Amino acid sequence: MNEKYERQMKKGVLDMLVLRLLKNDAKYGYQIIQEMKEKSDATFVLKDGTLYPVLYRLEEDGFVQGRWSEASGKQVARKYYEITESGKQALIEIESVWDRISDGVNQIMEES
Amino acid sequence: MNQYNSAEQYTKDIIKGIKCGGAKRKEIRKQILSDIEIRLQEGEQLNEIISEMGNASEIADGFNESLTEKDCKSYKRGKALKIIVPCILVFVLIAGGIYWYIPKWKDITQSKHFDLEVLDTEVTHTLELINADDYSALQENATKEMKPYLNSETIGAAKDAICTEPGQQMSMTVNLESELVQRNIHMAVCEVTVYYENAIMTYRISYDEDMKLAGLYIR
Repeated sequence: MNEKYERQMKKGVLDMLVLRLLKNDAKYGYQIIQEMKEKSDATFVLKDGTLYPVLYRLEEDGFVQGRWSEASGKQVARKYYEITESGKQALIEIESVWDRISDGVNQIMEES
Repeated sequence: MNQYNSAEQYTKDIIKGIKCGGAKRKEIRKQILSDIEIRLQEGEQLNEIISEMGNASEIADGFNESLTEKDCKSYKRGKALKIIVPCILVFVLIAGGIYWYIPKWKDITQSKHFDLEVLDTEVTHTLELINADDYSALQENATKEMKPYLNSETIGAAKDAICTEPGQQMSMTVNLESELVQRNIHMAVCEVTVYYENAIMTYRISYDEDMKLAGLYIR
């Protein structure tokens, strides 16, 4: 039961978290997964099947842009995702929504 | 979960379950393989990676949930083509086969296989031999299949059934001169009505490409 609710709640913030992680530099998929795990103390342990749909959706919306690197020597080609200007703008708006939502939630939870 | 011997195999299973067009599937495949390769290079084992990444169908479901309408349309179109194209091919083959099998009449004046003058000459000669009951001469210039039927028992009996004493040939009209093609076999066909003193007989005479008598019908 808890797992289902946890999954649902996490789903809602993934777009924001991915945009946030890309705010300062471009990253490839596995890098995003690792960073998200480290920075959240393993609260967010994403699988590829969860992350990539988010990235594709953000790409479709124009908030991130993907580009493949060249394979060089033993290093395989990687697809880096970079936040766009409209992605940065969207992040600001989403963060403001998040602040409002988390305030609202906290008020209700404290009252309870 | 770990029935996979290679990253390719695992990725293939994931891609199989993703319902989008070919270009996007290719992109996703490349991405997944790249991720797995990065982890392998970092020292992880394939079975650990697959275990962490999860079940192939669950990963595919995750992708499917985020597909756009455009992706879905592209997938459905691809699927439909996979059914429609073979159906069309089968239809074309069957139609082609039927067309090949059906006898087709062609203008003999445009024929690459027959000459109208030669046909006229042969028909006249054949009729002379029939009128003279000269079956051995008829057989000389007939196909192997026709020879057994060019005798008094067959031809003679057919003529007698119409009239036993037709008399002299008075005139003749040509009803049909054409090329017939069936199963890639070309025949020259001529139908003539012969007016005898005491009877009227219609002959349909066919020749093969070597102008050998290949068919004879009397009524």
